[in-house]
Amino acid sequence: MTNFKHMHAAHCESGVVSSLITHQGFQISEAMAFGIGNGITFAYLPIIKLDGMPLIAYRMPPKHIIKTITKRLGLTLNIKKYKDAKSAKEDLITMLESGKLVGLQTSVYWLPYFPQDMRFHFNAHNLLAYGIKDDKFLISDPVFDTPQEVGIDELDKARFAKGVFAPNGACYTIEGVSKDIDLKKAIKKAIKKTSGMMLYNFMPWIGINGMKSMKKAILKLENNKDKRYRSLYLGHIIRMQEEIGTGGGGFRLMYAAFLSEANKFFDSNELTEASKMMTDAGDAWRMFAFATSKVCREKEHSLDDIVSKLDEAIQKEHQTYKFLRSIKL
Amino acid sequence: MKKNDTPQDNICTHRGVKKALYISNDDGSYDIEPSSGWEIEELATMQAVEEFKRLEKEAFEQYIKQEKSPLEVWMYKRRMTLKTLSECTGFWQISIKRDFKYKRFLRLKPSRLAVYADVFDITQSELLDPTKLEQ
Repeated sequence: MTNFKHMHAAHCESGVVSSLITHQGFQISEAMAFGIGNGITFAYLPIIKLDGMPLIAYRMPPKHIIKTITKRLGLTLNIKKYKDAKSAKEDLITMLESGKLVGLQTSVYWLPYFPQDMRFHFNAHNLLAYGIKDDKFLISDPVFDTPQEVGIDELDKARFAKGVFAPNGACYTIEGVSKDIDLKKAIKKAIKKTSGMMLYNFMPWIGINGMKSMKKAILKLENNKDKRYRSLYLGHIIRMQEEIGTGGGGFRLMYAAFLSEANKFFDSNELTEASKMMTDAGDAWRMFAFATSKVCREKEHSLDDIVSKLDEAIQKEHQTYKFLRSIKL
Repeated sequence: MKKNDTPQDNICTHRGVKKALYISNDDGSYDIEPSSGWEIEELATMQAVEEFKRLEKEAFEQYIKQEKSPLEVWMYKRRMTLKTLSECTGFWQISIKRDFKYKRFLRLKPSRLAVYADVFDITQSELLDPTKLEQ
């Protein structure tokens, strides 16, 4: 494929969706895809463990964005899964030779071009294959600033990794993109849904309530004598917030970009106002990460600073969603 | 975050890769700014990496003393926990724990060894002897 342009994005799933749709002639930015796909959330689930740590997520589970956005914009999502690596590979080659842009689900740990220290067992990393050259797949991984090349056999392990979210060679294409997609309607629905989930979810682990639960869990660390656990726990929060392609501040800054971009579809300037509030919340989350890192490094022993920074972030984000609920779009 | 606040700490975990961060401009618009990393992110990532290395080293010392099987060394080397390994192999955690015993591991059926070797992407002889690898 000659006319494909690699796009650098913060998050893999929204980046892939945005590329897939934009490539077919309907310009949609990553932030817009993330917002309409209802990518943002907050979940603190102590019952589900990841490497011995509770699940903390600043975004919806894998595949949520792609499923939501295709549904909301009336597009068709074709997902194919395979039993063996050989047929998956042959099929991918056929699709690429017919000029299609294909999304792939892979495991981060087994991708040959990933830096060694960033490899962990996460099976739902999305990337795009856009061509074949000299027995190599041309790969556009949205979280990398440049396109990559991977030998034809080197993707097998990543596409057929086992365990939670096992990809089973999943590959997907999006069809039905036309010029007359109604973004305005989709934006309205998406904002309503997201703010509702963050404010009014009845479960104590989701949304603003989830943040408060995490605060309680941090306060409990004060009495925990195991220094290493405490440090790992706090490091885990930072990783979920800043390391795994979030665009900064645990996706909050990306959501702010979405709100600002969405504003041009409406007459009033309220969404710009909301995007500023969201940026403040995102920056507060970053300050929280900074305070947390001090305790991780044992430069600081008291948890007071962390908790007050977290409180500030929670409060700012709470205000933003309340404001989003109050405006009439 | 403004453009000037974008961290450019050239962190070691990135190996030169740039990550996209969202920044706000003075006119209220937003842009993607490539970042060579934030030191806080490096700290958190390295902490997780080091923790696996520490566990691997511990397991390796016990393997040399013939107290633990090489399976545990490989598990941590591949950055897995008991839970991850159980999910990847389809074996129960309790049965994997039994395989951590040195003597029992040597008596395992080749078919079971093959499953482990496949999950770690190594040969069976490598699985039985982790000393072949650089420590």
